[in-house]
Amino acid sequence: MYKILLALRYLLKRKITYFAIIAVTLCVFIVVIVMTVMAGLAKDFKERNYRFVGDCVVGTDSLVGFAYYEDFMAILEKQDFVEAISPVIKSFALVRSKVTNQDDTVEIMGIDPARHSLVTDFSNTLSYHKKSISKAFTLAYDPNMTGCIPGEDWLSLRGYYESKAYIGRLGFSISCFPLTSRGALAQAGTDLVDTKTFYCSDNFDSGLPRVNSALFYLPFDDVQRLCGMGGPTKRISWLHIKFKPDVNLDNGCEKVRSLWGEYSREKAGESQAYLLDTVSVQSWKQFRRETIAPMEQEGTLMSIMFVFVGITTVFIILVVFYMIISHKSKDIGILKSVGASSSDIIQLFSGFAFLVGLIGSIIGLFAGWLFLMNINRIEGWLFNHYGFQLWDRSMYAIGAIPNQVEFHVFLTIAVSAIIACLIGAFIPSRQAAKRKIVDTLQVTQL
Amino acid sequence: MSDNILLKAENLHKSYQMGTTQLHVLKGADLTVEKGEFVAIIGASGSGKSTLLHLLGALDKPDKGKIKFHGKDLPEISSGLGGHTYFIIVLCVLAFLANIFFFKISLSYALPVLIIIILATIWRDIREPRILSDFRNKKVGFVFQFYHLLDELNVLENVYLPVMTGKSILGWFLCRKQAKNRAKELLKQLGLSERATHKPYQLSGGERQRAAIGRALMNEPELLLADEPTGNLDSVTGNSILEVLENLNNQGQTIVMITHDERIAKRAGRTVTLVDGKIV
Repeated sequence: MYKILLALRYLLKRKITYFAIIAVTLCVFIVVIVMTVMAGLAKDFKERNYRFVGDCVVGTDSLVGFAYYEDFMAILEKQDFVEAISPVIKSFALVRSKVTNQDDTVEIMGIDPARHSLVTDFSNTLSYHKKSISKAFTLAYDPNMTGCIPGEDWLSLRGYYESKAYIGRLGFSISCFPLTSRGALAQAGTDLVDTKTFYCSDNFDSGLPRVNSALFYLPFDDVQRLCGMGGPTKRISWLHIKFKPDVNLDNGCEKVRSLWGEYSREKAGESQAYLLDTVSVQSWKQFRRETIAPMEQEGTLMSIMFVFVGITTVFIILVVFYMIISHKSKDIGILKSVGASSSDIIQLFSGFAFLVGLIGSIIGLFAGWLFLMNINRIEGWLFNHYGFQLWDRSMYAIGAIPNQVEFHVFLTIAVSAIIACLIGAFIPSRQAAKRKIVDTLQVTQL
Repeated sequence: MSDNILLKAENLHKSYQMGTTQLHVLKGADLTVEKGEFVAIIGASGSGKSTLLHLLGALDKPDKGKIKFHGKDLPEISSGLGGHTYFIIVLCVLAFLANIFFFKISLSYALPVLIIIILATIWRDIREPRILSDFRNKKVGFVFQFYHLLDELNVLENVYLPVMTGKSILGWFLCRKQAKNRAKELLKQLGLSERATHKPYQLSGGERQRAAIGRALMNEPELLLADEPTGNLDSVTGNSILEVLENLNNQGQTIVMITHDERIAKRAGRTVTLVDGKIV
């Protein structure tokens, strides 16, 4: 009981204790804010990648693509764990603006907008056809013209977006290099089309800056022809698959993998079976790993930084407790002379450290929560008054700074801060407990 | 006669390292204290009086010799973390790193286990045998020259501190009323009733020493050890403190007091002299 009593009295009477509490508060405050914001950014970024891809993809990076996809789609459609499938053709193209006559290289993605919206969040990324997705490539004033959907950033970087008058008026001549199933350039004079004019029917914002600045969505059939993937044996690049809500991602991908294995064996004797060897089945995380990995690496770096913040806290507490305990060595002698043991002394100062950690954590968490709740307002104020922006929107593609507090994060930070205090206090209190009673009482006079 | 012996010190030796020289303070001191005795140990400054008192009260350990309380030896005082503990901690850390790097065990699983093992090892090692702290808590009471009261506690809390020290939280809650009443009773006997809620720094020297005596008597110890109890007081106040000690002795309290003042020593029932590290 005296340990609690004395720990409380030391806490209230020693001014240096307030410095220890302030140190813990500041560390907790910083960690809470950075962790919440960074975790929010990472989570948001991953979600956007998921919404762009769907659950699973079957396909190849090869520009030639793979054949016999229609039969496999039919097999997948019969599976109870599959909700929707979207065939996609992905390639590269040269784009020439009809207005400026400037050339540019872009990625093109041929999709069926209605199908693709069932698998991904495509419809919600559009500015004008959210509720009429099947008409995403249709131009209202002339249904005979073919539409295309460039990314918001691509338009913005070239000055089209600001005018807001580009829809329907902005034409692009898009040229591809049609490839045969063997990967050779298709011979001139065949019926393969390699250039077509498209008119901007909408624009999209996927929340992924690199996608927004380099990708054009085009009608599936047109891209298939442009890339030489039409003809009697049609080819595509990828099949995007969405699982039913209760299906586990890994299990679902494993089932697709197994189905694909069987299917590719069945097709082994077909004329373009060699294309199936390059096909892989990947979850969305594997498919987008090149994009997600830097963010995860950033998370790892943040964790290392937090470890250093934790070590700093331990050292601050250690120094403060050294000072407190050196001032209280006489008390230790007195307590031991009336029957306190070494472990009692360690418990006393550990209790003291626990209180410092607890109070520091509570204040730090509360201050952090308060700051997070107003972080967007504070950032707005800083931007309006000083032109200073905390987070580069083009890099993180965020509208608002994430400030969703999570209970388990708060709990982890508080527990870590208390443990840091206990570790910091342990060494000086153990040394104090180890000292001879007569030395602590300073009665070495003979 | 031997049944009446409370404390027996035999052939006590104690030396201190002072820089490069070793100072041999006690050179085979023997002392026997019977129940109900008031023994004054007198000696010149530096003769080893305080050292002897600390050894008798288990505040320090002799280099050689034995102290028997009721005919039983006092165990040695432990000295904190042993070398084997550091060895075990190093082994734990190496095993932890091996698990992480070779067996790819997740840090979140391995770290708590490592912390628990290290804490358990340290805890096992630092636990001083309770018998010594119990001895200081229940069998002896100390009165120091410089009072040594805790500034954070008031006089009443300082007096019942030994009861709190010897009890668990539950134990304290069960006996706290009784303990507070006894502390108040002691303060009344010592003339400090009005000062119960004051802090030590608000008291005079004599009042502080009386509060220290109250604390020493709180657990009704069999032996009261007083280290120059009047050494820091004026003669009038010192005299009142001695009267308190005399009254306690008259009530049967065994007291061992050290002093360098022969007039004060004469107030005790028996005087022993410490010369050159030996009782003569």
